[in-house]
Amino acid sequence: MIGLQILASGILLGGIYALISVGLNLIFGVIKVVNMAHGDFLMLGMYAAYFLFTGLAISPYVSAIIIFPVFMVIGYVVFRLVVKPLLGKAETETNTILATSGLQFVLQNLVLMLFTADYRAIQLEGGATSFNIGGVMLSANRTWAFLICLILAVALYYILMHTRLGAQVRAVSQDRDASVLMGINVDRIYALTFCVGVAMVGLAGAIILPVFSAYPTVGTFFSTSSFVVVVLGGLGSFTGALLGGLIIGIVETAAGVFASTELAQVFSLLVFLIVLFVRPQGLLGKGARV
Amino acid sequence: MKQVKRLFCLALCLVLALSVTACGGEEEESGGGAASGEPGEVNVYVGIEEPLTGANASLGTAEYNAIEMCIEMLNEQGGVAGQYPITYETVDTQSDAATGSSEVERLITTKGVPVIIGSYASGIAAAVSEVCERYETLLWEQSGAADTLLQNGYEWTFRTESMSSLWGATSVDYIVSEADYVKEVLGKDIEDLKVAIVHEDGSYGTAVGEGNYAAAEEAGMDIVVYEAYSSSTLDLSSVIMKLIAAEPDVLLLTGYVNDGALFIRQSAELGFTVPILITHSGGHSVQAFVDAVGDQVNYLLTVDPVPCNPKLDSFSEELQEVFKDFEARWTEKYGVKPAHHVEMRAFAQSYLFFTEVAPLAIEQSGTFSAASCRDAILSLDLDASESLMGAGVKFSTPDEPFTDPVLGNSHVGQNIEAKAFINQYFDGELYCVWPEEYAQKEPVLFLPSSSTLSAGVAD
Repeated sequence: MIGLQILASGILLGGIYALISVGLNLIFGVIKVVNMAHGDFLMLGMYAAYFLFTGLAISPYVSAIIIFPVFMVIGYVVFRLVVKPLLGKAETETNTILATSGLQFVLQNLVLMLFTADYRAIQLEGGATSFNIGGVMLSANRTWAFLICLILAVALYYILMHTRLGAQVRAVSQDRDASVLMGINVDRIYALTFCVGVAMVGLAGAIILPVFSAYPTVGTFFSTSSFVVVVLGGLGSFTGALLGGLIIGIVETAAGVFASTELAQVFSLLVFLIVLFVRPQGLLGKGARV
Repeated sequence: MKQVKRLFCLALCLVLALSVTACGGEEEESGGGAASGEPGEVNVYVGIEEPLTGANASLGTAEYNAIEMCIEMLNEQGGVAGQYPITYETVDTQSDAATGSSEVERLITTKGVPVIIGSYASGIAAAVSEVCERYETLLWEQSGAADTLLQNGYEWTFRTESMSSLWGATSVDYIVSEADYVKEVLGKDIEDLKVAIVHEDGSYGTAVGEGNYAAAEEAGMDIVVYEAYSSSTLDLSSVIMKLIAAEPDVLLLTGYVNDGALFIRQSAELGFTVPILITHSGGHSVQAFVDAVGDQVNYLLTVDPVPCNPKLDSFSEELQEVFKDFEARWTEKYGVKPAHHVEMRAFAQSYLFFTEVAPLAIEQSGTFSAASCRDAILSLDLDASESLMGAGVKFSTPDEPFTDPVLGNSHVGQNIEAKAFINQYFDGELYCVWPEEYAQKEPVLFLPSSSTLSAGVAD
């Protein structure tokens, strides 16, 4: 029974990791920009959901729907002001890392200034409930987060693989210059991808608010896991991020029970290192693709 | 692809580095602003260092505001001894030990500050204490509670409150004091109690855990789980699964706000119950924790270095008035009552410094300097009623270091009279319940059925 519980808890934790990493991977896969402020958009999403909950009594699961379009606008503004001016110039990759790192400090300190460093947590009706499936306990809030992650993954996969827009996005991610020659508006695809990437992590912020508190530097803790998940799964590989999240989640939970909770992350990073030695491109990575 | 990988590695390194330092903000400097005065002139001038940005900003800012309010209150009456106005400089340690150490060094070398007050976190306190020792500047440490802080034999660092291991031992002492009631309800002697000790793995949590362990072992209890975790963890299900398997009678828990709230939530989700749960200060005593767990906070026991909502008649009449004045001012300024574990605790220690140490230093040597304050501190011998911390004040010296009764380590600059108190939440507010002389309410030892963690033994 404990084995099943470890698996269940690990999968739910992995779902949270995967949910947070999807946007990061999408932006990297298409634009080749490493968004260092990724965790801070998550933090903004958490704050937005917090204020919608405390001010207007909107459940974070509902506010996620409001947050998504709002964060697309925020993503567009950031893309135009911070990322776009650096694209196509010398040392684009390094400069965008530095620029988004700068953005990270701006966002954290802006939130600190506006909302102070207080921890903001919410209490949903019914408190910490769970589903009991044959003696295996599934946290309700984490199960919702996991299901939403799955829905997002399927929706994104469908859009990328079965729509004209998706084909354009894939084309741009595979060969930017050829895409231009084929008449694809690359700037538009870049802007759209960045907006969706930011909106997805904003949405993730709302979904995880019932589980974690919001505070200005909360994104930093999630950033590390997101980067590990994305690299483990394969850079730019969408399904890889999902798989990477689940593996890290299960390894951390199992290591916590059988070895020591303190060393759980050591084990997950060890798995990460082993995978990189054996498959440097990550589990499902086949070069830069979506 | 190689370049891409290199970039991602670079990014990963940057993220890891940022997560280690938990980020920071910009430096802040404020205060009364006076520089050191003419030789011979008494100039009460101190430096305040607190984490105003970064991971500890929430509680660091609260402490800072309490120290500032203490200075404001005293300056309204003319300052130290009613005649020497207090001026101060402030630095933001950004929740980072290295930044704290360099900022304090700057305060000492460029501003000539003779006394440093603050720290909040034990890690920062350790770094700052080393700088103060080097420059022979006094560090009046307010909440760096880790045992290791005063084990170096440093002569310029002083701590009024009790150290973490004593907090850990106090929770066990309290259970032992209730041995008859425990026997009546659980049908077990103290020696038969199964105890689980779970703590965050920083210097503070580790010291509390060691205190728990030493005292539980001394009492002959059966320690079934002794587990540490990182306070930045996003998941505690593995710890909780271990606890479910071990079925302890008592859980002694130490953590910060987020992990503390995460523990309560995940325990409820995974169905963990325990008859007796005692937490240890840190995150469990602050408002953010109350907000995060809601009603579940009620009847939670915590160990703190101050009695919360204590019986006021345990203090001198003068201190009773000061206590009420501070509460009223804080409530008016910030719209909420001060949390006794954070704001009152910081206020109490600053008040002690400016009303007991500073006047004595000036009286004894005619100046306010690091050396005169140190001499004054070493000659202090106060009764418990004379400190809002609820304990007497007498510091250990290099010649007579204090050997702590829990772990047996030697400490210089520790208040040997310092105590820890058991507080309990009633309607979202902490009240001292043990020891009796400070207790306003009767303790509820076993978690009642209103708690999702209740084992339902005493209903």
